[in-house]
Amino acid sequence: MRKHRQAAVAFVAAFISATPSAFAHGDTKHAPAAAACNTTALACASIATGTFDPDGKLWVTWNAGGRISVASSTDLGKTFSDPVTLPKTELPLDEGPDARPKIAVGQGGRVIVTYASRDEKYNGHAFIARSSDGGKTFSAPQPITSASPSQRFETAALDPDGRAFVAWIDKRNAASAKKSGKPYAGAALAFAWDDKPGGTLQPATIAKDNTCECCRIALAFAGSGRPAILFRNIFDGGIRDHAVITFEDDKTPGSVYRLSDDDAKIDACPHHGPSLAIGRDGVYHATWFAIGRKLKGLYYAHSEDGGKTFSSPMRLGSPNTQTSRPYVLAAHGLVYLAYKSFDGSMTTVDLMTSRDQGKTWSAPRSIAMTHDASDHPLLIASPAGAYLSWQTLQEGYRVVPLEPQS
Amino acid sequence: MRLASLTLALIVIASPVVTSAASAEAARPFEVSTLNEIRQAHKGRPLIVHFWGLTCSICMSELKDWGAFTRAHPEATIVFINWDQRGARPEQIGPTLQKAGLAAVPSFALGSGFEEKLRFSVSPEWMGELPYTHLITDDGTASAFSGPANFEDMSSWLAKTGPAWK
Repeated sequence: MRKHRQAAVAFVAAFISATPSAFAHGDTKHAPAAAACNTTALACASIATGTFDPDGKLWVTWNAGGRISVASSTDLGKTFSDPVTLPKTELPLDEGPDARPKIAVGQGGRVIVTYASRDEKYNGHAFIARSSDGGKTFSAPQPITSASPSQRFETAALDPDGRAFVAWIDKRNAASAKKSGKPYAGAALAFAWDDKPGGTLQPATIAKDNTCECCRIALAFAGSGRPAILFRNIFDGGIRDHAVITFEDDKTPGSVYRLSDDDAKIDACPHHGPSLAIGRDGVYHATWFAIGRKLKGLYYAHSEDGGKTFSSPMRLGSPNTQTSRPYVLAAHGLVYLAYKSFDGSMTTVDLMTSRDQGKTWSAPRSIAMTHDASDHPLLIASPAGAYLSWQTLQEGYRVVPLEPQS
Repeated sequence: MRLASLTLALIVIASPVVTSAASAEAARPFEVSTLNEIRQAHKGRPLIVHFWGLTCSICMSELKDWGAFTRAHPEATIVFINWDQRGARPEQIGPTLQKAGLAAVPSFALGSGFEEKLRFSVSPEWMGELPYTHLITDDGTASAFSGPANFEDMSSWLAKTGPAWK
């Protein structure tokens, strides 16, 4: 049968002038450079997440060879400690376009790592692993919640007091609505705190029902015990625009404020989540991918009133360069914005900087490039500087110092 | 039955794209040149290219409707391109399409290729959102929409797009 089919391909190809190479492939597998790379080494990762600890040491967690690993570096990624590889999850790791392991490192050698696996129906199962000895050993990973059929896009951070906060997209209310035959749009935004710094996660709370189920969420702190979450909400009429919730205190999610009127009346999965930073001055900086009837593309806006109202959206990138994956960082009195551009053959990371809390911005400048697949560009701050953290297929993991532009 | 075999014969002569029609086989790799090649191979006939993902719940919930639409419109060539990125389970593509009554559609997959470049070859304006559909008329005019398909609209689009190939 197969032979017969291949013969048919050859026969037909002879009659088609535009001989399609894709059709001549037969059963040969696409073999990118990374296909042979199946160890747990950082070089084999398609996704890597970096962060700095309070002493300026770089930490990276990555997904490679079906496992999550963690290592640290005292020389900005030139050399790494021996990686610690976390136990294999029962189900395959979630490697969707907006999924990534997260890491936060606090005082006294405390490290938390979160990540998710997923089942055949693409329900997520998220875990948290902890170290209290500077990442030498990790406790057995714990599910971030129970009684939930799916948790995805888990995001973990330590608040200024060192208490762990985890937020994620949860499907428990969607599942129970379905069971009782009630309609339920999207999923829910859920969170859990550690009971104390270095403690264990408390039971989950739903902060907001009916949020978009397919985008990562962004997290920053407005103060101790006061996380601010930027996420794709589902507004009345099924409009999937971004919104910000700032906690009034650790137990009380505040009101939902709309970031921008993109008018995203679209039941599609953009797999393209936002990014949020809050400066020491309290100014919120948000960047996101818009797919609305009013706005399309990458945008930035800031808020000077604690995330209630935002400035007019500023468009990022030039048209037809397929700009994507925006990220914002507020550090050392500056605001940095980065995103990817693709010109048909090369991906670049473009950087813009602001010296006045996001009111005016430098022209974009390319600070890194690659000619093959790449992870999202992330911006991270050490106690002294600011850096791009970027994993690319060809070059591996790199950390690039950000030089502010005037 | 007779119609089916006639159709199959015509398809085999007309286009190599459809040679995997007999059963749900592994999706072929989607390359930078693939979309152009599909268009070349189907010049002069309406063509619908549908990008979908196993990880896209909206795509999954309309898959059966695509199966029904495909059966109702043998005059249109419909190609499915799986755009799951890292973490996709390519072995599920064939069985999933088969279950939705789409075993006969030519099937390609992004796999672990250079996503930006491959997406650029589809459209510089496409940001990768799914589902996403290209409609190409018999004179080669292409349009695209994101989100679930309106099958009535697509039927009237097919009816309008020049002399349908029958």
